[in-house]
Formats: sequence, structure tokens, C-alpha cells
Amino acid sequence: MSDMRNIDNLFKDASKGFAPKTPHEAWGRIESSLKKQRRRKILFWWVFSLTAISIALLVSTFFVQDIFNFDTPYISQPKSNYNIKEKIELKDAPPASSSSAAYVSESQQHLQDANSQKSERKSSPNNRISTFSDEKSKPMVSVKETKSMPNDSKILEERFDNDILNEGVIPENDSLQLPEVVFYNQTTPMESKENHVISSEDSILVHSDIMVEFIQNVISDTIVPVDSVEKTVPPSRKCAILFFTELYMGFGFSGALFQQPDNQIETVSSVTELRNSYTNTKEFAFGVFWNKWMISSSLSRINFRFQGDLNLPSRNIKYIDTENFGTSPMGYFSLYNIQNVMQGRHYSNIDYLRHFDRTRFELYTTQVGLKIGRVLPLNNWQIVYGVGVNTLFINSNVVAGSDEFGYTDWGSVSNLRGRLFMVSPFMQLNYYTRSGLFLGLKSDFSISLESLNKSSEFYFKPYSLFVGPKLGFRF
Amino acid sequence: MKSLEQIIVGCKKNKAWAQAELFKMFSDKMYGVCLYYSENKEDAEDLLHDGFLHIFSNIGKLSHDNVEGWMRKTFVNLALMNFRKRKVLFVDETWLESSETFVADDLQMQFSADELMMMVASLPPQYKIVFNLYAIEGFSHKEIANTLQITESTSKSNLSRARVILQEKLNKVYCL
Repeated sequence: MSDMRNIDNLFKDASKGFAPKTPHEAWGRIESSLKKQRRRKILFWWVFSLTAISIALLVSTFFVQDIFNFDTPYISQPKSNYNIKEKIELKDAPPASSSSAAYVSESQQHLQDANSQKSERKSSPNNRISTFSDEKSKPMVSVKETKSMPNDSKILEERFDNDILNEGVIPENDSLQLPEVVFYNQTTPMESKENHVISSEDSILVHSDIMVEFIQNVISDTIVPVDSVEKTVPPSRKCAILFFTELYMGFGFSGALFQQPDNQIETVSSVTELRNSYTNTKEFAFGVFWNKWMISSSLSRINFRFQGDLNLPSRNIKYIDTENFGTSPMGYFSLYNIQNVMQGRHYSNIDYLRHFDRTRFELYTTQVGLKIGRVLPLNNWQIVYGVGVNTLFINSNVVAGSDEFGYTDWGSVSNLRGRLFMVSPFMQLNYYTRSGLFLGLKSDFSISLESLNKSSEFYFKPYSLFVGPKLGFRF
Repeated sequence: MKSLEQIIVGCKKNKAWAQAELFKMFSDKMYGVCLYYSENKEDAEDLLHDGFLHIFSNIGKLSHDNVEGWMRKTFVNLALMNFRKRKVLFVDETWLESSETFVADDLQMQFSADELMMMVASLPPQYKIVFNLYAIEGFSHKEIANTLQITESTSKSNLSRARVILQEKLNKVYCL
């Protein structure tokens, strides 16, 4: 047993001092994995931040809505609940004569009887439009002609008004068959309450079909349900042209479809492979909404940035051609400063080249675009989707080469086109405030229809996904 | 030269220089651990790679001073995880006792640590893992049985078999 312990201790002691030399490339592998992890983290935080900003924008619009109560930005509101009384006009009203006075006196008698029963009767909110059983019993009320009416009818009218307007109750008398009309606004109670228009609580009893006709024809045009921004525009303005401007800054993720040339030129010392890229955008747009369509034109400043690895060929490098220093998917590129930088380093020329490992390409462009889109309104929200055609003008391009001290050598890609045609499907979500100001979230996917380089050797079509907030004004 | 404390703080902040320093400081020892828990050098390098990545991403949880012990434990746990994935078949053999005896002190004088550990590394995997856990890491048979999901008797028999093989190897080399 002690021998076994001895063996165990022998190997345990040996393990303490066991430290073989780690393979040379082990750290390189770990380092590249760590770099990948960092990149993934950065990408995650970008996506997370953009999502958080978008959500914050959306949520903040709800707060703005709550604070400023922009529920009904385009609705014309009636001045008063009871102003309609003044608009009532008399139809088939008899002239103010003794016969009418007699008629009213008779009516008054019946009303007095009816009033005695008033306490026994409960007002019902569900009063319906009653029919006239007798043509003679048709109501004859005129506000405008009140002065010409006899005293009796004045009293009757006052009492009638009091009953209608203050208590919402009309005396009921079967023998008189005084017509009774309870009109409820067509809008839902909630909408009516918000808009300060006629609600169920303020039900108006109208004792004339004239009133019904009036309300249906006149008021219904005034009271507009709040279904959408578009519906709030009066019918006459439904096809009106509204102008808007918008300005947004977007962040894009761009990529490229490309192929490398088959034959490399002997003087070229490196090949660059693109790894990742991103885009930032500033855009000014001006457009027109017409009915449910939107047409807009835009002017954008877009910077594409592509990053890549610089790979040296396995063959020996005999000399450096600064004009055609390397091959990238975009074309041949130059690096003018390389000889100056070389002199400042303590490497031989060839060794210095081996310290190059990265390149960066930047395209500075201006884009002019035309977009057509369909507008889906939903209350104060608006979803716009459609397609745009753009022309991308390439203003300049820059290539940067990097050694261990950072990007130190500068040049450019040769033989690039001056302009590219792009197609961009898009989608926007906008929130409109009462003042016409709108906030939005915009997403464009833009892809080039032609290759960036004029040479047929290179086939490079950049594409970009822009996602960004948008601020605009509709007037 | 940075102290270990500064390096650990740097690693917790995800600094590249600190990670490189930590690797430089412990890579050889940890590679040793990887070697005697792996089948071959390639597996050992993979284990070293995975182990250091795991350490760098979990170093924030390190709350005590025994950095080396914590790192070693991390490597052993990863090795055990890999071992479980490989599903090595354990056979419950008869508990063999070595009939030969030797004086360990004498042997220790003869063999270097590298040679001894290479002997362990050359053991069949099921013997090697049990021997490493019992003799080097100090696990009990019960712990080994729980960790490897085998019976205690299997653990004992595998340990015994490993000892016999190692003893044979030692004798063979010693006789030469």
C-alpha cells in the first residue's frame, strides 16, 4: 500500500514541476479568438443600442401624446353643445295666428296634465325616434319666430326648452301625441366625450323630423370620428396635396457582392479581402402626400467604410509599385506614402511590408433619390412603405493601409465609376404631432445595380441597410 | 513588469496586454495540465485554447488570490467535460495489486518530471483520468465516481490498473 502511495506521490510531485514549453502559435490562436469575441460584443452593443434607441423613441412618443394631448389635431370642434338650437329652422310652421294660439293653448292644457305625471315617469336614455300617428300632431316649434308667437306659446316653448335642455325629459301625453325624438350622436360615447360634442348624457330631444334631418345633414358633417389622421381631414381636403420635409441621420450596415480578378499583375504586392463595413448617412428629403400615396425626393450624404485584411502573396516581392500597390474587390489601389513611412521604421523594406495587415476603404458619396410609397394611416401614426430609385455620385475615395502603429499609408482606388444607380425598398414608421412635427423610424435597403469599378475584371456591387431615426415637419 | 494583481485587474477590464501577460505567466504550467489530460498534443492545444478563453471570460468571478489553483481547476473541469463528451468505456476489472515493489525515492532521482508525466500521458484514457484525479488532484473514489458517472469499484480497479502499468513502465526504464 505504501508503495502505491509512493507511486502517487512520485507523480504528484512530478506534476508540480511539469511545465513544458507552450507551442509558439498557441497565443496567436487565442488572440484571434479574443478579437472575434470583442467584435461580436461590439456588434451586439450596436444592435442593442439601436434597438433601445428605437424603442425609446417609440415610447417617448406615447409620453408626448399624453402630455400634450394631441388626440385630435385636425378635428374642427363645435363651439357649444346647444348652439344647434339657433340653427333650427321652421318647416311647415303655421303663421302666428289665433288658431295656432288656440292650438298651443290646447297643447298647454295637455302639457299641464302631463307634468302632473312627470314625477311618476322616469326618463329613459333609450328613447327612440317616435313616429307621428297623426299628421295634425306634427310639432310646430320655431325658435326664430318666438317673438311673433303669443304668450301662451312662449311659455310653452320655455317650458319645453327647460325640459329638453336641462332635464332631458319631455312630458309625455298619449292623447296629445306630442312627438318625441331623442337623437344620439353617431359617434361613440367615448369619442363624443373627448371631442365635447353631443353625448348620450347630453341627449337632445328634438320634437321635429326637421331636427333629425338637420342633424343628419349638417352636424354629421361637422362631427368627424377620430379614426385616422387622414379621416380627420375634411372630405373636401382628402385629395389635397400636403408638403413635408424630413431630415434624418441613419446608421447603415453595408456589404458588397464582388469577385476578384483572375489574373494578378506581377507588380501588385498584396491582395485585400473585405471583412466588414458600415455606413453613415445624412439625408434631407422633400415630398408630397397625396391621398394615400407619398412621393419624395431626397438628397443624402453617405459615407461607406469597408475594412479588410491585407494579404501578401507567398512569392517573393521584388519591388513595390506604389501606383498599383494592391488588389481589392473594388479595384487596384495605390499607396503613395509607403516609402516615407518605411524610412521611419526600423525594418527592411520587405520586412516592413510584412507588418501590413489591414486596409480600410472609404467612399464619400452624394445620393439623389426619388421615392414612391403607400401610406397606411392609423390615428396619429403612419406606416409608409415603397421603393426608391437613387443615383449615387462618388465624390472621392480613400484607401488606408495599416501597420502595427495604425493607419499610416494613404492612397485611392483607381478606375472607379463616377455614379451608380441604386434601388432601395424602404419602410418608415412615423408619429405625427398636432403641430405637424413628426418623429419616425426609417429603414432602407439599398443595392447597387452596377459594378463600382469600370473594369470588367472587378464585379463589386455595394449594398447597405440603413436604420435610423427621422425627424420631419408636415405643413 | 506588471504584478499579478495588476494583470488580473487588467484582465477583468478585458485589456489585451493583461491577457497576454497572464498567458505568458501561466501558459506552460497549464499546457502541462492539458497534456496529461489529453490524448495527444493537438487535443492539448485545443484544451489550452478553450481553457484560456474560458478563463478570460470568467475572470470577473475570481474572488480569491489563488489564481493558479483556480486556473488549474478550470482546466481540469474542461478536460473532464471533454472526457465525458468522448464517452470512454470504463471496464470494471479485477482490482490488481502490484506484486513488485520499488523505492520511490530512488526512482525520483532517476526520472525528470517531463518523463514521468509523459508516462502518465501515455496511459489509456480511462486509467489516466482516474489516476490523475486520484493521485494528482486528490479526489476520493466517491468523488471520481460522481464526476465520471461510474461506480466506485470501477474507479478503484482503473486506478489499480494505472498504477500497475506505470510501475511496469518505471521498472522497464529503470532496468535499462
